[in-house]
Amino acid sequence: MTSGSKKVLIAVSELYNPRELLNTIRVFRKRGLAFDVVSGQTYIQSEDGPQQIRLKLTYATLDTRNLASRYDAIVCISGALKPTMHMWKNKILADIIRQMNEAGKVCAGICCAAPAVAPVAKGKRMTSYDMLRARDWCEINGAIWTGKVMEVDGNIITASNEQKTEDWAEEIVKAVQQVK
Amino acid sequence: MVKFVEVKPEDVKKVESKARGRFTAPILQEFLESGLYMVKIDRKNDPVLSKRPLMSLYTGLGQTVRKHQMPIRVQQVGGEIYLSRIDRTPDGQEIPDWKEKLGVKPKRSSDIEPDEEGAVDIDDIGQ
Repeated sequence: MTSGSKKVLIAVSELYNPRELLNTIRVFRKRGLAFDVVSGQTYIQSEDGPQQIRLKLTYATLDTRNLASRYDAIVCISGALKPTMHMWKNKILADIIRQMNEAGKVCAGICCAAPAVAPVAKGKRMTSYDMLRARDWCEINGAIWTGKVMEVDGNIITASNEQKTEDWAEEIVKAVQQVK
Repeated sequence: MVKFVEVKPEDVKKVESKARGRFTAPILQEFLESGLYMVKIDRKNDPVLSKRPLMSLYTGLGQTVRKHQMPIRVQQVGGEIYLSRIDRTPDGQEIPDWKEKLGVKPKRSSDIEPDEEGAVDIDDIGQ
């Protein structure tokens, strides 16, 4: 099963969670889903080791005009807490998520990165890593934080922890295939 | 309403001032500058350290080492505190990857030092 010409934008923390990032990429490749990865800087590092990945895109170099015409989903992947929390308030990422949501595209997040999609999840069910700050941020933005392992509410797909990465990524693939 | 009780200055028991602020960082810095491989801290003859409980000093040193990612191991053995270098062997040979062995993890994106040769291209991930 392939996803044709569908393409996803993955926004990842500079100190990424390797289980979340690598497993998501594996699922996307397996399902034939194309993707670009963007972060705050070109070199990103595993949160629990020295392994670094060289990216082609950063928030500064990404052309944010008409993103919804080039991508079918925005997927936020977490990592170390501090850089991941910066993702919640990153204006460029917030603009990307807003554009994608307005175009009816999929907005997904996992673990501590899930609250990044909260501003577009007003009145929708979502989950994130069980942390007071994350819960507060979701609720301040009007989302209904349920704390479940995974929540799918319309175009908002969130998971609370890395153990659910594969299922979450499969759910994104399914949702992207339905995006017109 | 607060009640004030008048007292004479001479009636107030004089308390010896304790060391205020960070006192562990200078100890560790001095150790790094000494060039020694392993040392024992002489607490008894130090006016500040002699008043500090052993565990307070031990945990304080450990916290400073972790916070500043110093190449020092802090040990507490038999009521004494020992400091040793982890970035070199006892013969003076440098251990370049001591941070990896220690498991020091970067916490901020600014802690990442780009590794142009070791980094993997995103296109090669998950193939």
